[in-house]
Amino acid sequence: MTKVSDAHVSGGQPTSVDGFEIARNPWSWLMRGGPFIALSVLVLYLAFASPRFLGFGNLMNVLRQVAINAILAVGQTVVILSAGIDLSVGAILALSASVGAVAMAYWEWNVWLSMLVALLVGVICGMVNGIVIAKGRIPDFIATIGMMSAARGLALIVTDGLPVPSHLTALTLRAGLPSELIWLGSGVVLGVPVPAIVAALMVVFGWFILRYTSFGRALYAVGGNREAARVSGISVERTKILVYTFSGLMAGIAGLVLTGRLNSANALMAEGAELQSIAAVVIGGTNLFGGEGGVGGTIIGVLIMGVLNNGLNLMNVSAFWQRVIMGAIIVGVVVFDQWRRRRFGD
Amino acid sequence: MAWAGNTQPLWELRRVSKHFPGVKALDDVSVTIRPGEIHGLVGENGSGKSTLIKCLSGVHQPDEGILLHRGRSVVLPNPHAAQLMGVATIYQEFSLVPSLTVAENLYLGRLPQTRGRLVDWGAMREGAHRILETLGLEIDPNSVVGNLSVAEQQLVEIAKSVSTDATLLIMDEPTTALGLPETKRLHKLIRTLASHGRAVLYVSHRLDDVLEVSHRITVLKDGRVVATRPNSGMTHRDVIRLMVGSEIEEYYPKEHHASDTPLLTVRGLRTAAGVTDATFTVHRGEVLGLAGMLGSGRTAIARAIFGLEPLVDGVIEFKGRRLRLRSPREAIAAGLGSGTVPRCLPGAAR
Repeated sequence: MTKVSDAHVSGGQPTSVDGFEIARNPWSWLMRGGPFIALSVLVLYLAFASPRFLGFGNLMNVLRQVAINAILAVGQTVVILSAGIDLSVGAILALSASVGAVAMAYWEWNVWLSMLVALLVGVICGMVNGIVIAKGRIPDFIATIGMMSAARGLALIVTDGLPVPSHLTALTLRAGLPSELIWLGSGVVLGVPVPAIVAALMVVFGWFILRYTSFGRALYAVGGNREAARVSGISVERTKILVYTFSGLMAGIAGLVLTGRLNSANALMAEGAELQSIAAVVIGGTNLFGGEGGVGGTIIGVLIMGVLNNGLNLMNVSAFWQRVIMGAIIVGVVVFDQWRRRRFGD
Repeated sequence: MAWAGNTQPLWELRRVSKHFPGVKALDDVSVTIRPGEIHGLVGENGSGKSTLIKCLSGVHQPDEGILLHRGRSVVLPNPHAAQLMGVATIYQEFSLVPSLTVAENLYLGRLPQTRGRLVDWGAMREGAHRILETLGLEIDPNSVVGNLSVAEQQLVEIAKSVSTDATLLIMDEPTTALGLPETKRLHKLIRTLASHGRAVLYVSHRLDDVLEVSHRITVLKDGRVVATRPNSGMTHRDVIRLMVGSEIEEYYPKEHHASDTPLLTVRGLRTAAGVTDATFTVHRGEVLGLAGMLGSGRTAIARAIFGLEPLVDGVIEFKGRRLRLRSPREAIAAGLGSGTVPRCLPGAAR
């Protein structure tokens, strides 16, 4: 026997994870809604700082501006929940939009058919992402970065590197893009911008899928504990493919809305949109490593970014500084959120 | 004994072999598992226990030999296929999703659906409540699994496999994270399940646990079956002899090196992670083991000594000098070394 003298060890109980402290802490419920509180504070501040902020027109402006990011972020939420990341949403948006616009303006296809084709392009790109990741067994990051480059390239090929319709081709066309598409991007229903309505529908759609479909629940499992999902008979591959297909569909929808708003599509539109959508998802409290979060948080994240943008504009902050401030806020919110999780538990 | 001696086997591995590059993990292995039987499976590390489990649960497919389910040859190409055949595996690493509720974990991969093919949350909660109640487990189906204790998580894990109407439960090291009362509770649950006609393949390093609960015991060594024996009359020593292949007095001979010179003294240690009043002394030449359950603070103490956790209170003296460590770098500079942190107490070196 090894001699152990006066060894007296009394370990403590596991605390923070136990839920005990959390329940006792009166601030916990408040801390839980971190992103929501950040948004409220921001709105409150801007309401005082700028008299125009709370005007109906301005608020609708904010909604119109955030719509694209909101639609992309719904797709990105689903991806990140499954512990993936989609860096190709901006490029897929551009490719779908380019194909749709070329079909409408140059090939003179029926507007609905063109839209369907545009969405199909998004779906196919997303599906390719998913298949490459699932079957090729490569990191999501690499597969989607490849798609990011390839889809932009295809968009340049389809558009010849020119805006569609462009000034070079406009003379030969009877008209620009069809009015249905313009309505999708610039229309107003009962004072509310159509893009905002589309975004709201997508948020509800995303929420519904996550909450009420087996696929939605399966992706929480895949993101939260991949091995558990596998041994429970969930097909990780199938889930991954569906996840990216969904994200591709969202990118396609966003592409149509943005084309309608800009009255034009081009191969380089929405550059950096993938990072915006990732930022919104993470600000909204979805765990970047998967398994936790949802579109509810994401929409808050989207609004934080949109309101901040709008507020800085109203306060005449230079566009250069706006980027700096936006960067600081994105990082700041996530740092705060991490601290909150450690301190107060989930 | 609860199991009837000569019923048709529920599962049979017949002359199964499995190769991996460089190793023969299973070599001509034949095992039968009968309905209502608790079948213990023991063997040293690398003896093929895990591979055997994985063949039965569809993770691996045998290179040679066949699996028979109720006398019929079957192929299990994936875990799902094994599940459909009534095999439920409780792995060492929990197969639970920490961010989901108990109810959802119980139904993972087979969520109840409404007629419109949507997730039926009401039915799921009700079903979960019923399952937990039947097993006599007082766990709220709506609580998030990540917030449960390790023992509770394991009970959820077992409840999950029972609820799949599994006829064979494979338990891989089920008691590793459990204390004595929890082990008793688990064994009681296992006996109940067996008495209802379910078979349990009980795999463990803890021979006492295996001897306590099993009806028959199979011993593996180097990928081969050494013996399958009824438990009656088997002793701890018999099992070890079969496992190792020869009689040994003690597993590891102990040597005495401890001196009376204190090397590391810890007094009244307190950390934010929940260690309270830890006090002990390690002498020069001594190996001190810190034992305790998962979450009892073993690792937290080691981490605190090594400067990985800030001290709230308490004194650490090393070679008679008081240490105030703020980082592992300082700990190493002071002459402390650490193995991989979760595994052992920083071995006080030099």
